[in-house]
Amino acid sequence: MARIGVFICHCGENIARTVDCSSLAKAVLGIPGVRFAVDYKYTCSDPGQQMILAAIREQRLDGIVVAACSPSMHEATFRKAAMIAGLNPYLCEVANIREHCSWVHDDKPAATAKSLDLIRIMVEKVKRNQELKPIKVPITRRALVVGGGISGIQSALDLANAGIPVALVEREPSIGGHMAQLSETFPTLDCSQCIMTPRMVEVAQHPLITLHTYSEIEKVDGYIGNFTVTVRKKARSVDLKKCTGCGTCMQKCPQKKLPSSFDAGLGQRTAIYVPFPQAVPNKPVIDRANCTRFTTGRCGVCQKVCGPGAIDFEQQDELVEEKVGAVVLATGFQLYGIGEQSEKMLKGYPEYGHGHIKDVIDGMQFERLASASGPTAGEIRRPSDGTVPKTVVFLQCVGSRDPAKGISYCSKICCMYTAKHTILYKHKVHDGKAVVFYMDIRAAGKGYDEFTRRAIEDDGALYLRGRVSRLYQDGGQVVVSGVDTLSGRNVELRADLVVLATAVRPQPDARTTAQLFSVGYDASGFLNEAHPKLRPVETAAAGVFLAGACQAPKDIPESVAQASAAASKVQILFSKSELEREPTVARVHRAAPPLYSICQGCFACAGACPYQAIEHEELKDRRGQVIKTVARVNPGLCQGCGTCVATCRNKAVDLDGYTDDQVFAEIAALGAN
Amino acid sequence: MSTRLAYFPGCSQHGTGREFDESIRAIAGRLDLQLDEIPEWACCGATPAHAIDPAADRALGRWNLGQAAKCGDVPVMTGCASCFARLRSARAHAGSDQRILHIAQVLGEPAMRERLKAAVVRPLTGVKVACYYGCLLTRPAGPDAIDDAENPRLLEDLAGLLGATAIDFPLRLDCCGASLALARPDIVHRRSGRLLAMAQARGAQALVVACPLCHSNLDFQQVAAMQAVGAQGEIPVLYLTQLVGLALGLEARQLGLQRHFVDVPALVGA
Repeated sequence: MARIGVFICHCGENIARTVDCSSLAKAVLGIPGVRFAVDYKYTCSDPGQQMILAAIREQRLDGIVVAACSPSMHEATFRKAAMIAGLNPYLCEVANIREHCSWVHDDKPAATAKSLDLIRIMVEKVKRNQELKPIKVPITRRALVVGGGISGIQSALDLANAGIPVALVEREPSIGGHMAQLSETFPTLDCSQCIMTPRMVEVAQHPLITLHTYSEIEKVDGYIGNFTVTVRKKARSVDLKKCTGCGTCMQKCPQKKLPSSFDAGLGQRTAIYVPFPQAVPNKPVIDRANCTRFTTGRCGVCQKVCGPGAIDFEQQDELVEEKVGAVVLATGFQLYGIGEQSEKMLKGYPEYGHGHIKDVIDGMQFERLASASGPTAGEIRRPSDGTVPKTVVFLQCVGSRDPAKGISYCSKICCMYTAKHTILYKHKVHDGKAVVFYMDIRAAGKGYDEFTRRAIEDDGALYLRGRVSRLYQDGGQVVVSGVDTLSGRNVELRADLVVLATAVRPQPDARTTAQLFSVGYDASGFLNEAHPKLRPVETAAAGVFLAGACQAPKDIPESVAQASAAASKVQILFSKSELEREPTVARVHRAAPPLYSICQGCFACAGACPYQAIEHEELKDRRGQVIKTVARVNPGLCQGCGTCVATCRNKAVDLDGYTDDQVFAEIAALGAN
Repeated sequence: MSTRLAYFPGCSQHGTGREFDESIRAIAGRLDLQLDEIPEWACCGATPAHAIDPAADRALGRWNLGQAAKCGDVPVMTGCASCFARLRSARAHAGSDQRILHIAQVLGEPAMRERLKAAVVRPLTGVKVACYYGCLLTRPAGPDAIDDAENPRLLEDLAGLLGATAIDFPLRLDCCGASLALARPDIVHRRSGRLLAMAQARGAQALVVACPLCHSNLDFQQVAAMQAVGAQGEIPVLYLTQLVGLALGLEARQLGLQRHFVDVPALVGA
């Protein structure tokens, strides 16, 4: 006969207000198997835990149920108390009578009766609980960082400085990401490249960082502590070992008029190119899609002029395997493409004529115009005729906060960078006029509101609250037709240049990245954290962490903070010699010969498993003959979701801690009442 | 095979916009469209009903949809932008799946485009037109709208099919002043004047419209509108169906062109 103890928590008034805890404690004693029941004001407090400890010892309890708040709040607390008392922690269960009962009801007798049911259910479960032991997994003390923008760089440097070897993978030919493209940063107006490029150099020089630029993740195998990641190093057509970075090839390349993506299409580059002067590595790459040698077979000038003979047209993609114990995803964002949209859900803004009217540009293009390393060497000159614009109109929330255009979230950084743009513009064009159309000014952050006030009050930007319905070319100017909702009037302005603060979006292949690493993503394609408040850098995949704008729109300080947080999470993980994991994982049936296993090897579970945790195992007889191939759950990969259990036609797989037997007993307990 | 439609002319097609009705019927004959006028149709309620008495608006909508059903299981077609909007609204309120089409949509359907192309006998080559949607024709946005609310292409495409050239006309979705023609004609003159002046300045030989109220404001009020914005000269305003009719070789009188206040010069050699 079971000896189960039940501890009913008042949670101050949170539970006691709607649940009669003392009469509940008496009623609970009537459940078969319950030897002990007590109610207490704060069970999670130290005296509360001492009470649990004492009861386990004195009453020789073989299982306990704590009726309190959600198990995601305090299950760990109570299981630890049970363990101290000598009870296997997996013999302790929580009945959630707060979130599932007292908080959502107001009728006291009914809520008390429901609490009794919830406890009854858990008592039946505990009776069938097995002692479980944490799973031990070895750890490879090496980390992978995906993405070489400011977030990835920060994570990689933090980890490497803590003595952890890091492989940093960047898709572009250089690390640096968006931050390297920016002119100045808000709210301090310090030069983005001046603070960014030393960090990039630090990455390149760090003995513990292996840098893979122009590379992408091909395949991910393994699990927390033991990932095997295949990296595709795209053919650069330049031998990095031989290349000295002299730049002669770029000077001689006849293909000079390709749009530079680093300059957001405003500048031009050659077919063999270094994206920007401070690139790391500062060695060129051949853009094969646009190189005359690759498109027509002729040319080859770069190879002829290269002294060290570094140009290699025959170079192939190379696959490199990286064995790592943890992964930080820092894949970043892209701006909403407002012209042609690839995704159907995004309607774009054809009425703004971006890509059609030359003097309508996006925020990143304005950054390049304002940047000393940009196509105009930092002078604000408009793309159509190179003149200095005297009236610049900025439109905020282009794409953001507009479900009709496919995006309902706020892109968070645009209010601030638009204010920065108006300030930079005024500092460079003293007699210029900056006009901003906004929905709300969202400037929460240290020194942020002061910064937008500075744009308005000190630098004279005219802020109009309202939307713009249309932009059109008229003569040499762009007509901006909109509304000022504060005065209730239509506004029509003639602008020399219009800057669109387009929405921050996930990378177009963010979903593919998420699937590679078994990480969740939201409806927009941003990667999902494990818990929005308490686990903001972890993901649903153990050992995979998030940093920066791949998770949600973020500015630089936030990205850096999260990147450091992700790095320290990896260090916490690596601080142990072995990994302990929750033992609530699936297990495939095994039995002695001649049965071996009721698994028939259909592997429907393998298709259903979101974590690739199902492996094949050959069952052999004592002569070593293979009897059959059956499924086996890799406990390092299994997250205990139970999908395989539901899928299995033979009921050959069950979830430890949540067996079918337990779940049916819980349901029966409810039905019996 | 002829295409059958339940035709909802609307009040203006029997009054100030008679030539719209005449031209719709005229081109229907050439394009093998069979128009069954809805028996005992009532006014759609236009602007006042839904603004002042929603119950009356719903009642009118229900009546018209009910009458339309008597024409059989065919789409309802109208030429008026306002009737089109009110019928769509009535359909939404009634939860009906009746198809409501604007004449421009009917002409824009893939099969009709082919039929139209084949029927052109007098291509409008070299004729520059400004296609004007007005504020209502593309709105409210939705799957049953004629085209994208902010960036429609339908009228331009149709003009192109006829051989004409649609100029870049940024004000094509601006309001002409609509029913303020009676209460505040000054607003109508200013707004319509801007449209006319821009179309003229950008080299259009004619404005093409698909709404009788827009037509009235741009044609009947044109002299005052031009004066209001200090513009000179005049520019003819044609219904889409009249433009189509010209390309199909119909005569000016068949299309009611003589009813316009601003004379329509021969755009193409007859």
